[in-house]
Amino acid sequence: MKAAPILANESERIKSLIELDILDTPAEILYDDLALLASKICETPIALVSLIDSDRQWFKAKVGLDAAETPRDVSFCGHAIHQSEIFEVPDAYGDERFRDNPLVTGAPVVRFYAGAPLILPNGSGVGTLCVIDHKPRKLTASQRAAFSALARQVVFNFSERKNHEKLQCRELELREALAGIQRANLHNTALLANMSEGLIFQDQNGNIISHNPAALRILDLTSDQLIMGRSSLDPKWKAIRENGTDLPRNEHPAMFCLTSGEAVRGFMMGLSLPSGELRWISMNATPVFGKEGDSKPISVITTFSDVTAEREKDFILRQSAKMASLGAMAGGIAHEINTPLAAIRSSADLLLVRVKNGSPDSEAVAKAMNKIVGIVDRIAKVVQSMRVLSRDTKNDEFAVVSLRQVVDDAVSLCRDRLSANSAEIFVNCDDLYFNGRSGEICQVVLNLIANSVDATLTSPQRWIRIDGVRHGESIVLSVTDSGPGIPNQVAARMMEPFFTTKPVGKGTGLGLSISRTIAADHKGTLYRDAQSQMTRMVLELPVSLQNRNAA
Amino acid sequence: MTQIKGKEILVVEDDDDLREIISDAFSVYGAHTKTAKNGEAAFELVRANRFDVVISDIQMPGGDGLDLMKRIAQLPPPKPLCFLWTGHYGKSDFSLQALEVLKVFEKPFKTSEMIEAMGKFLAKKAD
Repeated sequence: MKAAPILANESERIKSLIELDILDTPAEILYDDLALLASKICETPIALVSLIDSDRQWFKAKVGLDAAETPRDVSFCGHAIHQSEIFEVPDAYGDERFRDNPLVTGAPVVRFYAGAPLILPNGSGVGTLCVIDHKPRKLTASQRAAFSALARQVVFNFSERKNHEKLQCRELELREALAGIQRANLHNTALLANMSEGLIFQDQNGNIISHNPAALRILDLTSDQLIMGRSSLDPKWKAIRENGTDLPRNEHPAMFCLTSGEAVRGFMMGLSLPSGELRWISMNATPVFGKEGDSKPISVITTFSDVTAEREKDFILRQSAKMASLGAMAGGIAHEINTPLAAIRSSADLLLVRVKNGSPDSEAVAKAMNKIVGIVDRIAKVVQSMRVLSRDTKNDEFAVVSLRQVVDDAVSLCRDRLSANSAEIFVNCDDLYFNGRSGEICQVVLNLIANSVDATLTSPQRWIRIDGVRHGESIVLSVTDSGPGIPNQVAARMMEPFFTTKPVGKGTGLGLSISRTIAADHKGTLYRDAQSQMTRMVLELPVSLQNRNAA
Repeated sequence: MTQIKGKEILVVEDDDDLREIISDAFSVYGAHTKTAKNGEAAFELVRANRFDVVISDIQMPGGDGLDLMKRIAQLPPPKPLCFLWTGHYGKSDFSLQALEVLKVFEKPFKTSEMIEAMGKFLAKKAD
């Protein structure tokens, strides 16, 4: 017997076979049908779709045979796969290669065999479509042609089968992706519905495409009113700026964002509601671009939250801190007024004595009266400074303010505190102007001076220097003192609200944090100059246009 | 009133207006006055001159009034009569006796009453 040969391309052939993913799979009607057709066309009792594994032949489909597989070395198909045409053994008894083959001498008693090789597009012969009979015979030309065609159908179905599997995989992937998207969508919908911030999505023309429920709640509008826009609104509903004036539509952060392509952060907008309620909302607008590098947004997302309560709280906190710093000054202010009052009274007493003595020298009277007038002005100035500091400036519009005036006000309010602590103050302030609220900046300067006074208590030399100069587009106002300096661990935390190094009852710990907020409101900054050898706090403010023009 | 006539008086006050006016007032009553802006300068004058009365503000930059009084108290006699004035209420929690201070006047005081009170102490001392 001649065993089926194994050729050089065996490993590649096996690889191709494995990749078909067909070995040991259940029977499929398609292949069964092809085997049946082969047996009918060739008029044989047995037909097989046989695949040649490394040491066996395994039958994907079989007609007239029960065995699922047989050893490779005795297989006829092992020979057939190396052919390019049909391999036909008309009578195994008369064929040296097969006459003593156990499949010929015993069951299933193969006398006739014809195998059409199953050759994959890559050239690998992975098996055969074969027919077997128990008696010798020969295929006719038309049988051979039909048989070959059937073999090609088998190969065609192998690749179809593979494609089908791929498609099924792809379909599964798509289904999973879809489920993922649906889940995410569900989450997003729940998120949007439940978030406390309002969210509005607008197209490039500013038309509202969608919004979440919080948006309606915060804006106090119905969905129709929001989407239909202004025309359907109650005329008493209006958006205002922080200073109370009407906010035109083109200044709305979403519209600004669409025009400029820039994001807007923390825009403060007031809502005057028909009920008379004033509501403050803080808005962020983010442009959405069609693709990276675009300059014109295709839409804009605006999120916003109701900050009315925070604003109110913040205002109360600020006001109380202001009053606390004013309270700390109150004793000093009493002295500040009592000393000139003593001077006035003494002056008046003296005049009275002179008048009583009947010799009022008119020049002396004039001198005394002038003195009194000057001292009264001094007192008036202290009172004025107090008023600047204590008045409610919440809704004041920004005005052009003289830096010198503000520093003078602050210094005049704490002159006594300085003298009580034997601290000298040197002020060197250029004639500069900024846009803002004088009372608030006065409060910041007062706070810095008060901190410096406390800081210099332990120093043998006690002085505080205030310098106000212009640096480019900024006013740089610095307060330097002779104190021992700020330890790093204090410097790191000193701007935090309620952080204080002073004993209980001596400080609110709000001074610097509120000063910093005030600086930020003025588009400025407040910081410690870490480069300076002395303790130096710096307040930077944008210089006012008026000053720019003057320069 | 006549007790302060011809007396040497030192007025210590950092406020220029008040210092000038009080100094003028004492002059009107016939006293000779010198003035100082702070405790440090005042003590130099006390050491270099003989004063019957020193009257000083408490809070001043560059040497306060209490410190001045302490230093005067340590001087050998004859020492001037010492008075203080202050614009701070409720801050006189120091011992006047230890400082040898006779009286603290609170701003705004009446000049005539202050001079009268001083006169009484001067009269007592003369007895």
